Order: sequence, then C-alpha cells, then structure tokens
Amino acid sequence: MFNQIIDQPELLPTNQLLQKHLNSSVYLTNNVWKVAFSPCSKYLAIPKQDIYGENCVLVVKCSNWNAKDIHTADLSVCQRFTCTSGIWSLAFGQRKTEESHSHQSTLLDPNNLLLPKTRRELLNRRRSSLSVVNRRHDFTKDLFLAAGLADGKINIWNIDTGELTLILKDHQSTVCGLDFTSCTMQLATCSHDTTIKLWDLLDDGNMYKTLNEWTHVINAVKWSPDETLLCAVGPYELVILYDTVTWEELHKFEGHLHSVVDCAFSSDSALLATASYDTQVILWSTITGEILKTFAHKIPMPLKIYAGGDNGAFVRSVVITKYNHNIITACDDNKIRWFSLALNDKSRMIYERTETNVLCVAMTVDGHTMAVSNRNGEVHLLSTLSTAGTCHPPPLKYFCRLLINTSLGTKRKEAFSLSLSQHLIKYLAYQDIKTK
Amino acid sequence: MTTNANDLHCETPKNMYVKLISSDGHEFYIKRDLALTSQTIRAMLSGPGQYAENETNAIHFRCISSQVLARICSYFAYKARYSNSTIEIPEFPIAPEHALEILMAANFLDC
Repeated sequence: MFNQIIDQPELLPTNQLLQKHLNSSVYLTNNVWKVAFSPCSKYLAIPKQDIYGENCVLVVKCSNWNAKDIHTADLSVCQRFTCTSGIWSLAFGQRKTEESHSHQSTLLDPNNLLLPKTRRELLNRRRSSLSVVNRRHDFTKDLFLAAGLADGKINIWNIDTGELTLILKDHQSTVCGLDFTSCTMQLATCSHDTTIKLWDLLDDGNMYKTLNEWTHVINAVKWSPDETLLCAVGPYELVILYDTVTWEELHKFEGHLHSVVDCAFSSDSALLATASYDTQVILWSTITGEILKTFAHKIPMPLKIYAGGDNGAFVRSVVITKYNHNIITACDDNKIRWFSLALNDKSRMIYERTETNVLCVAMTVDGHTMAVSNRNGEVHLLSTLSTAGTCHPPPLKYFCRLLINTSLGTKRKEAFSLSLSQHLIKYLAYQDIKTK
Repeated sequence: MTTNANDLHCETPKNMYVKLISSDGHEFYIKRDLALTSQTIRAMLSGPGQYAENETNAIHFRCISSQVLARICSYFAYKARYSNSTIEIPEFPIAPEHALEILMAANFLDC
C-alpha cells in the first residue's frame, strides 16, 4: 500500500533566515535542550543565553516555514522574553473550543454515559462556568508559552501581548519537563524535586494534584492527544501511564535498560514511543500494554551491560509524525533517524541524517516542518513533506482505526468487546505492526 | 477525473463505469478505475470468469449499507485525487457513527 519514496528531508530556505537571527553575536552558544512549536504551527520558541549572562527565550514567528522563496517568507523574532535562571523546558498552550465531542458516546453503549470518559468532560462537569469574570487571568483566548526554569519557577507569557502573565512557584528544584493538554489548558510539570504537579490554568493556575511516589527525578511528562492519559518517564527504566480522570496507574511498562528521557504519543493515543539511553526507542500499545516494536540505534544491539551504561548512543528525543507514518529520533551518535511505522513487521530505518551533537527534535502540528537543535546553540529547520508515506493517502482502514481509537477515550480496553472480528480488533490495537 | 484513453480497462464506453449496489438497493455508478482501488472489487471484476460480475459490471454487496458504500466511493475519489500528490494531503473525514461499519467494509474490500 505504501510505496517507499525516500526523498531526503531537506534544509528549508527559511533555515538561513533563522540562522541569521540566532547567530548574532549577542548570543552565547548554549545547549539548546528543547525547542517547541505552537499548536497553530506559526511560532517556534528557542531558549538562548546572551553575552551578559541573561537567559532568554526567543519566539520566532513565520507564517509558512516551508516557503520556497526567502524574500517572501516573513520569518522574524517576534518576542524575546527574559528569565531569572536557565530554561530547561518549554511548551505552548492554547485553549481550543471543542467542535463536537457529543458523538463520542455513540460509538459504544450509550448507557455508559455516566462515567466521564475524558478529562475534558470531567472538567466541564466540575466547572460550572468558565466565566472570565471570576478569574484573575484570562487563559481562554490567546496563545501562551510556559517555560520551566532551573530555580523551580514556571513562567507563563502571553505571546500576543508579550506580558508575563503568571509565575507558578511550587517546585523546589529545576522544572525539567512540561506539557500542556491540547484543548483545556491543563499543565503537567515534572521536576528534579521528584514530583509531578498538575496545574489548571483555567482556574487561575491552581495546582490541583501532586504525584510524588518516587525518590528520583522525572525526566519528562506528556499528555495524550485526547487527554485521557499522562505518561511520565524517568531513570531506573521508569515509564508509567496514568489515567487522567481517576489518576490511577494504568500501566507500568517494563522493557528499557537505562534511563528513559522522552516520550511521544500517536495522534489517536493508542501508541506510545519512549526514547531511552539504552540506545532503543520502544513502541508500546496503550491498549494492551505490550511492546509492539523496538527501534535500535546501535547495531548490533549492545549487551545489557553496555545498554545500561555509557554506550555512546543515548537517544535523546523522539517524535511521531502526523498520521503516525514515521518516528523521528535524535541520538548521541550525531544522527537523526526516520523509522517507518507503517511498514508491517519491520523496524527498519528509512533515512538518517547527520547532525552533530543533536539534542532535540520537534515537529509542527500540521506535520510539514521539523526543527532540530544541538549543543552548539543552533536550530535547523527541515521539511518533512516529502518523506515516505506522505505522498500517498493512507488506506481507509487507517482512518477508521484513528477515529475509533480516538473516540474510545478512557474506555480503551473495551475495544476488545466491540462487535468486530478478531482480526479487526487486533488491527485496532496495532497488532499488525507488531514485530513477530 | 479524466480517463486515460490508453487504459486497457476502458476499451468501450460500456466498460468505463461499474455499478455497486448496496444492501438496501442503492446503486452507485463509479468509474471502473476508481473502483479498482479495492483489491476485492478488482478480483471480482477481472477474475477468471468465476464471478458473474465479470459480464455485467455490477456488484451487489449484501452486507454493506448505502451510507457506508457512499463513503467508500468518496474514498476512492480521494485516493485517486491525492495519490502522487505534491501538495499536503488532507484528512479524509468519517462520521463516527459509521466508523465501525466502514472499518468492516474497508477490511472486506481491502482498500
């Protein structure tokens, strides 16, 4: 079904414009641990440090990152925010009004409407009014950027007006990971003080829950796109999935051999990819809890003793592309790799690109562009439009699977009780891409 | 969609369209090359003479309803439009009420 067209992802013409802004002598070369794109795909946030020692976040705006002609592309640094200490994590958030979620219940037994299926529904019930009159800050309309700092504070800026709207102070130590939900402006943060805190920005930044069951740092947190799951990853091979409605631990995934540093969900929340220092990226099914595929970055696979130690090929970052065609990873052996998810049964790398000291890979929500950052303070823009899988429309079964998995919400396990043949239920649980 | 005049399947105007009949009697006339996106329909229409559909260019689906079949025909057009496309491929919208039936039909039709 998928013809393999391996066009090289290329540096975009707008990349040159970006370098001009970043390479000005005002900035020091710093480790750019994280870059983030906004949900509207127009803004890119980059943390930098200037020669006076001040930490700042540059927000670059471009209406079309893939513009062919440099002169018509309007890339510019639209904001420059300063912070009191080093920036460890960044995320954009914007409230989205839901178009239609009443249809979610028609898929399954309508009598099961009693339990809220997603966090969104739970919040809609609890909050009697989202009226802005009662709140000190208005988080319902604009685009916001949150940055987690080394001193434990979280700064939240309004991108449109440029003001520092809120500073969240509760963590005792560096906030190393942050993530916003896609629609309801909930923020999850994880820190070196071994806790995960959850903040509701629509309730004025109220911190309503702390998860502190560990004695080690949590490296990253991510919400699933439908907001029903929260994934936390950390050292000692920790990968945990929480149900966001009841905050129970749904799955504790075992399989990595070293510290796990990054995770990514597929667009229907049925797949979770985790990147670890043990040179692997493992793809888990959130429905069944099993390993579907592993992607190796060092071939042959290192023995356990090396996988658990210094092996020179730590995988730092992972993203899943739109429609779940590919996984893109950044590894300490100076390479960015594309792996295909759509090819059944094979964990084959379809493309790799050298990028020295690469740290982070980020993709726009619309799937056209990706940004790659490294330890030399550089950020490069690449086009993802022509890589494998994007030249042909996916099969109809694919769209059905995405839709059904998205609609299931927290009742994910009930996929097994739907009135479908075994073969189709396995297809829904992504068993067709599982390595045999 | 324009038809390629050299296409072997479209020798005569009579063979250019096929008729797909749903379980509730709706008849859908679509271009033959669009219908051949589905491997099952391709097999039914060009098999070694076992299927009666060979002669009449009509296929009666007793288990696929008209709404589902209509959506499937739209998918054939979507696929033909965006195959080998250089522009961004938009998402194919499916109504959630029909998602399960469309999945079963798509599985049967292998498309």
